[in-house]
Amino acid sequence: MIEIDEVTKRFRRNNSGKQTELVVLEDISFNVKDGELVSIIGPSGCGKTTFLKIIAGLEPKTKGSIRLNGKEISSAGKDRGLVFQTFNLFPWMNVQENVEFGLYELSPKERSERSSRFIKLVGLESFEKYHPHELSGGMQQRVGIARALAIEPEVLLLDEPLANVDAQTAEKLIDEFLKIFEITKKTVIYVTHNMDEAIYASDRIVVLSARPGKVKEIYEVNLPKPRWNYEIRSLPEFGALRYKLRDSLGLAMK
Amino acid sequence: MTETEDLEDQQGNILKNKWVIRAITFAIIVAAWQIAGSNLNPIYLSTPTAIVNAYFTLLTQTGRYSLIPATVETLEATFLGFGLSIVIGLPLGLMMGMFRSIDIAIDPYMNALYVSPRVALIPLIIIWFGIGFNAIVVTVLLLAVFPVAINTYAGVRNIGRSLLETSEVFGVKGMRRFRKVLFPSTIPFFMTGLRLGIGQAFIGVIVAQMLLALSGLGYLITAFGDYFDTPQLMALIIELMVLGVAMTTMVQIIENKISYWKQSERAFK
Repeated sequence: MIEIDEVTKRFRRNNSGKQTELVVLEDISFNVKDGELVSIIGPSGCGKTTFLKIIAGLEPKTKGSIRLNGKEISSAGKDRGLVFQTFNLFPWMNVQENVEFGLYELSPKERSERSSRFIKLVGLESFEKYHPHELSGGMQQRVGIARALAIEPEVLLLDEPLANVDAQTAEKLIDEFLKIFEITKKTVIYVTHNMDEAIYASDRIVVLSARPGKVKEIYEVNLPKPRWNYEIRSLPEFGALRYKLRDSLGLAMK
Repeated sequence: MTETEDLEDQQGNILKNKWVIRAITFAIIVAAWQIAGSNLNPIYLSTPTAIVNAYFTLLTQTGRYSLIPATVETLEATFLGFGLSIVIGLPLGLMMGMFRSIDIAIDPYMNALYVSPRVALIPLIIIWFGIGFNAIVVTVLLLAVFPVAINTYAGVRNIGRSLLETSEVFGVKGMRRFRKVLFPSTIPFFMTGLRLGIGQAFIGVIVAQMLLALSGLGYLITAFGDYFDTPQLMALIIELMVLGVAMTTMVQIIENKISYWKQSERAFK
């Protein structure tokens, strides 16, 4: 369970001697239940990536609190796994070494067992010795997912994980990701700017408004499960939700 | 056939013809040189045939003007000085890159020395180390250490924020972060430093030998210049060119092996 309570982020800037303040996020509050997938969607510049970085512990918040299972979050920790929009794999490490990046506390035997389990889960067995530059974008992001899952976090944080992958691959990957989240029973916070992706994947969708980012609306997604089924995209409820989402995003941009 | 295929095809043809073009150019230059050289006072230009003869004379004769010991000595000084440049330049660059205070303290001197003609320090080196092998190695070090240190420094400063964030998320810090992230990401820059450094090292060794040695290729060049022995002089200059190309190529090959991922990464971004 993640409890997010009145999280505010302000950047102080020094404009030729004059102190100005930029409010990026204002009073963000919502909860994420165990095993739930919550998407955060909003126009660009609404601070959704900053928000995810605050949860990951990479960015300090100005005000408010974030608790993971009752424990206040203040810095990065292995109870949270982060998947990056730009993959952020280490180019000099092969797939296995990348997946094992956060596993230094394990014995060599446990480490290789753990990494091969997650490499298999994302369907990259037999690519262990490949380097990132030898892999397609989609495959690189699978490594990113495996690396984040391998530390066995309680929450998985995804920052527009499919934004750098072509549309066809993205459609295939989202299905695989959903299956993986189901198998690993992960609580997921999913940042995206893609409405279809958000509806297709989420239990709930949090819409943020632009500058400052505030919670504009929270939508429950009551579509049938399992979701890895293309038919879902043609259900009338899908279309209806998409319409509402579009409307509130449009409003959010004004 | 698409346009890009056309282009590739053209480039493929050019590549195949590359050595033909070079062979023809070489033949024209040699022929023109031979004709021009034969019609001038041999002191000015000499001729390719005379130079080849001179080269074999140098190669086969013994004593003070023998080519092989001079070459060996020159290469020894180059590699020793260059090795020292790595031993000093790499940690120096890393420290400057990682610790802001060291950077602030050293940077002005590094810059001042880097942009000044460091061969001007040779007289001082002679005062300190006398004339001979040590002074030559020190000169090489003085020239080659800067490209190595400065490029390594640039490598550390250039590491992407995103890779540091990734380290933080996965709890990788301190020495482990240095070993797994900082140092490997610096390697391509360090290798560039080596490539530039070996050229500088070679310049350093020849200049130093010209000024302060009684042996080595630099000394032979000065000596044959003094005797107006142009064919021998030209033979030595050509050998220097060949050695210079060989050394940079060697570093380039190591560079491609070690930072194999760099090129495709650049293409990706």
